[in-house]
Amino acid sequence: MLIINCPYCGPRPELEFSYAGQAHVARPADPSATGDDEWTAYLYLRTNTRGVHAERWRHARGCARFFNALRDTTTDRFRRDLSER
Amino acid sequence: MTGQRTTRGGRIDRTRPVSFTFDGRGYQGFAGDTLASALLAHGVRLFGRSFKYHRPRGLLAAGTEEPNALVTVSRDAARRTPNVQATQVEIYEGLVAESQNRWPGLGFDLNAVNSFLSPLLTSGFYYKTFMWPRFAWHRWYEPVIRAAAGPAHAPRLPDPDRYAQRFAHCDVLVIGAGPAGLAAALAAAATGARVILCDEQAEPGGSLLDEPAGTINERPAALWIDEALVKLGAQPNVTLLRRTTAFGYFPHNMVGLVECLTDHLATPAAAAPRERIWQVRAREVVLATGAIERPLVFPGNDRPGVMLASAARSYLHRFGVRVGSRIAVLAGCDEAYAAALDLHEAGPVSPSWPTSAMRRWARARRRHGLLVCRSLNAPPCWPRPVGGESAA
Amino acid sequence: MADATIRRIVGLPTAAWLESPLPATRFILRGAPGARAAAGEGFGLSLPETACRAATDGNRAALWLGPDEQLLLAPDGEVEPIAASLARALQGHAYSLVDVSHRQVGIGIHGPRAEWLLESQCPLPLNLRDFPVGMCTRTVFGKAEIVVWRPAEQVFRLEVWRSFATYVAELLREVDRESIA
Ligand SMILES: [Zn+2]
Repeated sequence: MLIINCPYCGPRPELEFSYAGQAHVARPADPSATGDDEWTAYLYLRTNTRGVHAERWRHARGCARFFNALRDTTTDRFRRDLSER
Repeated sequence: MTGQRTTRGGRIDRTRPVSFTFDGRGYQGFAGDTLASALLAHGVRLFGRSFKYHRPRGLLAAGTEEPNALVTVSRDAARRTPNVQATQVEIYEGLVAESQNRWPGLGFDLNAVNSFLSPLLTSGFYYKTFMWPRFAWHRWYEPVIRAAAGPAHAPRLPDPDRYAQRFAHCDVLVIGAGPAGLAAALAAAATGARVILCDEQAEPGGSLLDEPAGTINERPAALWIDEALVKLGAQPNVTLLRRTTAFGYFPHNMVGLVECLTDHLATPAAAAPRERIWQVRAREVVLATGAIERPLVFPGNDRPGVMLASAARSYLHRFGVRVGSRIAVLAGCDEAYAAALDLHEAGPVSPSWPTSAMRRWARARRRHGLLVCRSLNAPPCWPRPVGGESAA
Repeated sequence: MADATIRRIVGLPTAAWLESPLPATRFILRGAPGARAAAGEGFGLSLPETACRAATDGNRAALWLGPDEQLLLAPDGEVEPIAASLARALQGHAYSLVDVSHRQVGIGIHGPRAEWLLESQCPLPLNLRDFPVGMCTRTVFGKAEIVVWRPAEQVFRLEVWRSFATYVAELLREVDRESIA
């Protein structure tokens, strides 16, 4: 069970969090003008990073906020200083 | 190798006899005995049969590393625990234990015929090789193979026991309450840190329990343990968990412990949970788990009567059981020399094969008049002596 | 039904630690800092801006649940006056105010064993150093989501959604059984 640093509440057990996928995946601004390939990429294509990965977490059973965090996927260590609101 | 109880010594309480049964036969041990030590004291050699070939199996070890002596312990029809190590079962008044993998009885086992077929049943052999012809699997092979295979039978009734769980947080978690673990816990507790110290045994002390002649800081081992426990017990920041096994080390210093609460009791309270799972989050984790002696590999090393030297010492010093009357010690490390000397003091030991030349052991050996042989008749897979001593 | 369960526990000889169900007036307030400041004036105490801390005044309390979310607690039966007073104070602000008085059940746990009881199923460290007096947070107890607040050293107050209250109460009773044995 990981310790995850909520930028609002501080370090808390993983039980209180839900994972919300890769961070910085922007929804195309104009879906009707977006081609199939770009839409597919937005919906389905994600990186499978070996190393530091930017991802979203939600402190679902805490302050209920989403936030971004950097986690090293090889060690499960979070870059504590880099969690952002 | 037929064990017998020594007249004194060991950490058992000889004033408190405990009666139990093994395969329907009544035995008596003492408080502090394990099922293994109590049966060994009665000369029991055969503890079970192997899973596939049903070869006879005896005790190899004295602790949690025991691979052979798997037994079923039952309190009633629903409280029936298969596959527990006889070395880990503390006896209590009325304990009922059974051996496994034998039919109709442990001494005469029809399935041991697999031993004669063993050239056909290689170690990678898969039972479904019995598939052909196709219809025969369901009709002939499967029922017999299913009956013969499987180490034991699970109870058919629902488990009536309660199981507790608990989160805990500490600065230092020490796993193992042997000399290193106790010292680590003492040092950590002295700084005011919150300490959890766990040990899988009923009695803290670890390898020191097998070393009554040992000293720490010029204090006899047993006394040093007692003093350490008194000191730790007086500290409110220390939690000592006995009969508690650390079973998993998870990310970010989360360690899973399972604490056995009632399995050693003759009459547990009705509301008492049987086990408690601890999820401990520790700032620092100290692994003081000690070492397990590695067995040597040679043909027939699974036969009853072949035992680790450390186990023989443990049975002698901790449980007051001498593992045999005629003992050969195959030395691969210090432990074996110490075992040879200790066992020799409790009765004659012969012969012993040295595989490494350690002068101080050689001197000690001569001083004690121990018979030592070169490994002339050792099977070729045994290690050759390196500059070995000649027979003394 | 949940309340009935808890009353039954209170009747247990060993359950001196469990306070009867705590009926209360409860509101969830959500809003920006300006709205929270205004609500404080309407409620009669300034709402806590520090994460995971509660503010109390007399028999009223405000618990920080999230950066824009507060749980307001007051004695039972004060829904109308408090709602009216908050509506007046919050005029001109964007906010949401929801009466959750009957959504939740309050459970009080008292005594030297309170911390021990809760740590059985709550993954947070509840010792005084890590969970000081005045701290409150949403977290979990077993499989249930709870709000836990420590108004005094040996007092915890849980706020549990009604449908989970039976579960939490039974689980507390189960843990308490460990100490009988
Ligand atoms: Zn949070």
